[in-house]
Amino acid sequence: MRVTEQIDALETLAYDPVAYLVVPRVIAGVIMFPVVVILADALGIAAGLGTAIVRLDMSSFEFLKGLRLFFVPWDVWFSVIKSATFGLTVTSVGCFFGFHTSGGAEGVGRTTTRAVVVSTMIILALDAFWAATLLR
Amino acid sequence: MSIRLFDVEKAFGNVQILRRLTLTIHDGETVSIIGGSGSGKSTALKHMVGLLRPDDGEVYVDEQNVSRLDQESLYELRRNVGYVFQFAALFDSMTIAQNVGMGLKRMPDMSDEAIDERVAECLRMVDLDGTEEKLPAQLSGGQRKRAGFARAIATRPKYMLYDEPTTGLDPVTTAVIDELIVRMSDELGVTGVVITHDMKSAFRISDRIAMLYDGRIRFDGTPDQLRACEDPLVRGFVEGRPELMEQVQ
Repeated sequence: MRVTEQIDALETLAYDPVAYLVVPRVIAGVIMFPVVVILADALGIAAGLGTAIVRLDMSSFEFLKGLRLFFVPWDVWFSVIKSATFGLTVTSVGCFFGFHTSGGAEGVGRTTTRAVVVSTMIILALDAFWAATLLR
Repeated sequence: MSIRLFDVEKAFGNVQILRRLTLTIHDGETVSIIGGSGSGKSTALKHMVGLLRPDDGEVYVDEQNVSRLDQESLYELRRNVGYVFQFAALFDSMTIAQNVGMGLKRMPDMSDEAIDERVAECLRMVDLDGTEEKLPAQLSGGQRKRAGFARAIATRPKYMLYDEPTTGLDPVTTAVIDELIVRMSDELGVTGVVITHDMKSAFRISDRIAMLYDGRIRFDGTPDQLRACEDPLVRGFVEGRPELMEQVQ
């Protein structure tokens, strides 16, 4: 949007581009990343149940008993907190670099790579940070 | 009411684009700014609407210093300014009607019906009626440009800034756009600033033409004065004769 002057166009139409473009994306990221993680967790459990029944000759009762044995509710909260911060990172870093891109299509490619690298590094650091602070 | 740039300096990194640029656009007139690529024309235009802030110098629109306005006052000022972008800058994910109505949604006294009516009226003006539900990608380059024009005039601004409105258009569409610019000035009294490389257009639509060279105004006068100008740099540019310009450079 920057290189095609759409952000400038928004400004000339008296819209605040940060409020119009960035804030909804960041809010969506913070809300939807945990939703996707919870969905992935649920699918993982369902896949485990299916595999246990079909491949390991286990009953669903046995599987659920084992699941309850090792289930720690905090783990769910931990994944929600972690994924919310990942959502915040991915969207805000992407928006920041997108806002400051220049140099046409080539510039967009370069900026995209930089945004992916920076958010990956921040996510790695955050992962270590949350593990050190929340799993002690 | 006017647009005034006074001693404006602007650099991007080490590259100095505007050097003490001073230019006044009086109320109701249409001024074309001509000049080679990279001479600072678009940069000057963006200063007039606060998209860029000068490193030094001042920009006044309606006697308000644009670079010192807070965000709310700047948005208030921008409601009086229509900006036609070089490549239209339409929002890809929105229909043409939504694009044209974007600025109108910021106006508190406009109902949805009034917005729809104004959008239809503006699209009719640029000969794009029936394209309301199309996406920008479904239009040709010329149609997109006209849709951008419709979006800019929808709020009935006092000032219109045109960044190369006819570049890349066929002669017929160019004439249509030129006529619209003249109508904006003659019928609605809109003050216009046009960035252009198209000398035929510039002579057709302008009350005054200013030539930017090396970040400064090299020439400022009426189209007739431009035709009679003896400056080899100006003549070389207007007549497309690089050998004349090389003499000075």
